[in-house]
Amino acid sequence: MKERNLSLGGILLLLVVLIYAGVLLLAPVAALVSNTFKDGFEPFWKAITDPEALNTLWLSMRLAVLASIFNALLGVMVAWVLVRHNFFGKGLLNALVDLPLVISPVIVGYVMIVLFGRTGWLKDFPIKLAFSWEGMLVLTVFVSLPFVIREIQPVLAGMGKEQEEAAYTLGASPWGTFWRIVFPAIRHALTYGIVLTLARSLGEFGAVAVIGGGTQGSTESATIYIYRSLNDRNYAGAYSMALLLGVIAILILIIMNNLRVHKRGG
Amino acid sequence: MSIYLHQVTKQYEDNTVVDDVSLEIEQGELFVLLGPSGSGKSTILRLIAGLTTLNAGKISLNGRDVTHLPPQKRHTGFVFQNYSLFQHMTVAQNIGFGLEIQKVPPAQRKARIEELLALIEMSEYGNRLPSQLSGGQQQRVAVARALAQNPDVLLLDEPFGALDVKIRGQLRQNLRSIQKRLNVTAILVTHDQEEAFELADRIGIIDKGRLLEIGTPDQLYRKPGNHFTATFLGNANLFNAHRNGTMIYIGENRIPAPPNTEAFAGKSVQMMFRPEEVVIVPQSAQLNGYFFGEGIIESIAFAGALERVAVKLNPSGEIIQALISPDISRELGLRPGDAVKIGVKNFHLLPTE
Amino acid sequence: MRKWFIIVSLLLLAVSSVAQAQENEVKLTLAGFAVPREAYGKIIPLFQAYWLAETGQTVVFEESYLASGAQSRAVIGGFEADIVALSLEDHVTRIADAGLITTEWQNNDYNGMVSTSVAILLVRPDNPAGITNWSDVVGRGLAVITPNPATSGGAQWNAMAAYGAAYRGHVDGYSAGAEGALQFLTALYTDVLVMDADGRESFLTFERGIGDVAITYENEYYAGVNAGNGDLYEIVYPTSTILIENPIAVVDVYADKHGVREVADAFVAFTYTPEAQAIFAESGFRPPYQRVVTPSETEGEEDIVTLVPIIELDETRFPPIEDLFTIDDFGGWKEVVPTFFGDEGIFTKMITEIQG
Repeated sequence: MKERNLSLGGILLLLVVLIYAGVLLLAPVAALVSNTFKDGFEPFWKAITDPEALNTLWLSMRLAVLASIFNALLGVMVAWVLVRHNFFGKGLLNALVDLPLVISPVIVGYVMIVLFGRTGWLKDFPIKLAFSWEGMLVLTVFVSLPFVIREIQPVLAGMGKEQEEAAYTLGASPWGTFWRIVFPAIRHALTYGIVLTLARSLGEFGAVAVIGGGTQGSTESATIYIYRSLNDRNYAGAYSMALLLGVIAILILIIMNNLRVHKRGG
Repeated sequence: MSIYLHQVTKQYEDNTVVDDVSLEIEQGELFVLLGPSGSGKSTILRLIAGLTTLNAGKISLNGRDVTHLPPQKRHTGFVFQNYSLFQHMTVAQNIGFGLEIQKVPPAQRKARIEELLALIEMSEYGNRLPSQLSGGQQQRVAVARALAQNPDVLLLDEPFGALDVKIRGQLRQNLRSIQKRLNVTAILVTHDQEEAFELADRIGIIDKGRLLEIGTPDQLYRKPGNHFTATFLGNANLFNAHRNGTMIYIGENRIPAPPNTEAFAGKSVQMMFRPEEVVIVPQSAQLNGYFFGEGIIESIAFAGALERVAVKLNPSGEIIQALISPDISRELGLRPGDAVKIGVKNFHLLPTE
Repeated sequence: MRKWFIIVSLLLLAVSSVAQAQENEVKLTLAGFAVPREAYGKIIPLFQAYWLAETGQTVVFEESYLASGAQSRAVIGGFEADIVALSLEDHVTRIADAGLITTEWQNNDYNGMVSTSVAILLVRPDNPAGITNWSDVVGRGLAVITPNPATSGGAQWNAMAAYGAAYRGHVDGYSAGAEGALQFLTALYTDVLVMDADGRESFLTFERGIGDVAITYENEYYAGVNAGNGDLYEIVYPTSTILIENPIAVVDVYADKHGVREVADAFVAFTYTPEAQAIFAESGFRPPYQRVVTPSETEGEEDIVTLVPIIELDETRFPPIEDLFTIDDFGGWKEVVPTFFGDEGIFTKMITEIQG
């Protein structure tokens, strides 16, 4: 039986938490949903089937999926190195991982232009990164970089390296050990990291707007489309796309969770 | 020769953790590496398993030079202190992991898993996950997993360290009987001398990366070769002495030298005797054993089956530790403050430090 | 493994969607400021039809609409737009200064400008505060909405409109000249309730019901009306205001690099045609104004410059302004930007003082 008699402090705490969650999480969602369907379902349907809107959504999803693949692979490697290896500058690298969380994406976008732009140091870089979707991808990878790493790191640290060593002595190769011992252990963390990466990537605006230049049909992502639609008084388009992005993010979460359950059952 | 280490050295930067260790272990032997924490004993185990690379020396297992082989090719079974079972696999999957890696056919694999489950008396637990087992059960599974591929050598790194004192004894007996039944060569690392005595065919004493000496438990306890072994393996009374002619001189006192100590002739030595070799009688009574000196009883403490008596030696003030049976103590009416005569039944000579 | 299958499939889809270029097709990249997007959206198909009929070539447009200053920086940074259509002459000048525009882009009858507008006052329906001119805006505790000149180049028009009107003696209660103009500007910005990041945001703030009066642009008013929000506000033309001029230019270096100079020049020329200008007018923009210079008759006095729209105005929609002036009256943006909006500028100092 749980303690039922809350103290006054306890009640206050609970109130603060509920108000906090309500104001910050539920109220905006409710406002978004009610605004989207203010004039019924039709404007929503029209807005999200608009080819221009779909194009931006497609770009956003492409960026998010590719960024997630990159960050899943690189994130595992970085987390691995940070946990399992000792080297000069490890502390610095570990600190740098959080940089994308604290630095303004717009600034990073601008720095990228300074670097890869017409007069930048890296202007002869073989891939055109300034004002291209490749540049948007690089920045999307950047802003969503910490999630996989920070999810996996504590799990790797917590499991220690003895399980891997045990596998080695039992004859498993390093690669086999990774797939059969380490991967199953970090799978949940990795999945969650990927979900966060996808969500963060889908939602990124500032960095991709700056680096991409927001050219319609080529470097306009869904979030840039939302911003432009608001400015153009295309409220139906803006709200519908925002809602759609939210729904996609939630669907990703659900699908990932389902995959996890199936995996365990089999 | 099952395990052969020749002048093995391991350094981390400037720190030598294993220093020129040579060792030979016979087939079927249970060898215990005993030493304080940080002495390098676990590193020796890891060097044998190939989990750590060495800086110098040579390691052979069953006559096969494995010095530069990766852990996968050394045919060792390793039991880690925290068992390190694969958390997402069942007990059976854990035990069968190595067999699966070696592509042993499923039917054969299944039979072997069942055999090992029976060996560790956990036949009902094959489908459990490690998280559903007690510490002792996990430890047994770890042993079974390490044994699954009939390794050349079983390496156990403090396998009882994380367990309750109560179940340790039981598990030690299990391990000992499994090891003898399979006649597998094993090295067990521990810092617990009681555990070492209970399990070991032979013990190697490790301190500061150096293998100080090797011997049977009895040898090392009664006739240690050096000061560290003497004090690490239980309480020891140690006195500076000198061997001259056929006698040992301790201060004013002299005692006939034991046989086979001619090597110390004319040298300063340390005289060592365990507390249970000490005899204490009232001043008036007849002493049984060599007379060592006189003193005053400082304290008498209950120590289970025996009483621990501390006697302050006259006139040096040094303390002698004695273990005597409560019966004798009562019979003699020993009390703190009593003046007593002190005798020694058996003693041993050590080189001075 | 199913999850990985899904991820790999998505990856393949993503890679396979790279667009394919077609033959006999030419691509033009247009970098515009955000407001005239709809107008260009209508002009472009007209131009495409015209060019196809003329040359048999299909023009594909890549359009980007950002804040004018950001767009200018992007182009300088390497965003390879063939044509820029921005809100401030200065933003094009910067591109030229970066060496990307090599021709005399302002060397035409329109001074390089493609559309114009005027700064106006926007009030609530039926004008409850009774605002008829600049002087009614200040000192009455009214909440004023106008964008921030520090973040928006366009917002500098608003500040200069108010300053200029007072300077030219068209604000009652403030003496003509620099001193009175600065006093008026200070009074005005003291009453500002919300300073949004750009002109459109500021307008939308007013549209959402915040504030009593907004200083904004005639074209924004018509954009609002076109969006069906005409019942939310009324327009008030002050007697004196500034002519806002939006430049258009071919970015020579990029256009040459892409081999599209001819079509880029043709597009710029096309924006001055009556049919393109009709679309601008529909969106709420005035046509470019020519500066007609009448030499002064008296020795030593300056020549008289008259502003004449290149296309006759529909006066019900674009009424004439009693005292219309341009930024040139204050030395042009080249001088105005540092003098007013630089770190030590008159306006910058004033705002710092107000915000205390």
